[in-house]
Amino acid sequence: MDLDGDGHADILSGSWPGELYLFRGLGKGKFAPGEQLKDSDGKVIKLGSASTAFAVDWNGDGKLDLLIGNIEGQVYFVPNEATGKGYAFGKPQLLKVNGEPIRVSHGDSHPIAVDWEKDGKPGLMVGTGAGSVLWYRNVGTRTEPKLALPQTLVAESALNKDWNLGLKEGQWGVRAKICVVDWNGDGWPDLLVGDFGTSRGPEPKLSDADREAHKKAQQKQAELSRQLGSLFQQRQGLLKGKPGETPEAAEQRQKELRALQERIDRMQRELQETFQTLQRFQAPVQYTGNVWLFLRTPPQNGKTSP
Amino acid sequence: MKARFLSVAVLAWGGLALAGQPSPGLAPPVKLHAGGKPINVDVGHAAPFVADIAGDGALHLLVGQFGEGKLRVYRNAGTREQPRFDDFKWFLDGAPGGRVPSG
Repeated sequence: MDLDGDGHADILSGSWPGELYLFRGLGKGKFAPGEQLKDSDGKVIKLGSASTAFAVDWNGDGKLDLLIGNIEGQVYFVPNEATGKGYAFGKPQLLKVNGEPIRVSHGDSHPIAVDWEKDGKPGLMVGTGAGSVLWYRNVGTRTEPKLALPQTLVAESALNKDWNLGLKEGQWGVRAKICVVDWNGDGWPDLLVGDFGTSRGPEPKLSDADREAHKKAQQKQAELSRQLGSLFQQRQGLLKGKPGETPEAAEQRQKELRALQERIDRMQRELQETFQTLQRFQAPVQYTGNVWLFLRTPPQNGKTSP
Repeated sequence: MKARFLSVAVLAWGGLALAGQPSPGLAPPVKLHAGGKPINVDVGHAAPFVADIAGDGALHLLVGQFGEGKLRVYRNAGTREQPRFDDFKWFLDGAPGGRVPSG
């Protein structure tokens, strides 16, 4: 992918705040530091947070356009309107199906274009926040793509049902980030899926004394949470001034607010200590981010798709 | 109003697939390994990409991560038909110019 047209491959990325970053290739495997991508008006391109970027000639005019995903789960097409080499990005458009803008399950869309069925027309493949991968076939033409209703290639993650359980063997996580490549060189594109998940370590062995301490800590956590909830409500009430309030009354209210905030801060510290005590009795939880390879099962009987 | 609700319900059902069901046209997935253990990026959110980034015909596996917005670069130590990855280098040595904001 050579976005600036200088003959060297470049690297493109989205970011959590939303700006897109271009790392220009300088040849011989060297790259320039990242720069924020701008449109043809010189404005930094920003189409939502948790952005993803994929460069592809979406409308078949020989220039690399952009497909952008975001936290809302939308898919933007940003046309490249350059007259020569390089890029000049125009007005973004939301990609639609059946006249409705695409918005994927649990947001966090990661759209890419791929000729998944080898019919000469790139279609749209999207990783979702739920951990699934959707395939929108192009039922239009190479220069005027029209997207069909999505087919689910990879199901939503089991983690969506209960985050506390953590991922089991063979289960993929959420926030699917995808790449299509012929991994085993059999002529058919395969699918890579990066994810985000949690895994639970082994349950610690607990003595009877541990179990008693665990129970007490859980009760304390419940009681502190309840009290904190009531303090928050009191604070909400105090934050609203009364109409026609005198300056003296307002100052008294501020004094009470400060005292209440001190109580809230103390109680939050106590609650944090309780959490840490509870950790000792529970299986440790870790964040994970794996890369899954889904190999394509080759088609039978001369079919063009499996 | 009723017709619109129906079409949304059909869309939702058509798109829903339950975890545990096989993926159409795809084998059950396996985790990619490097250096003998599954690739597991810092603070998750692995974002893979395969490319010949050095322009020398050797495929690299790029894997982005949430941790500090860094990018891992794994070079293929196997063959084209049987890729194998050992260690990785941080893109631009993990310097700020080689990262994206992640928090």
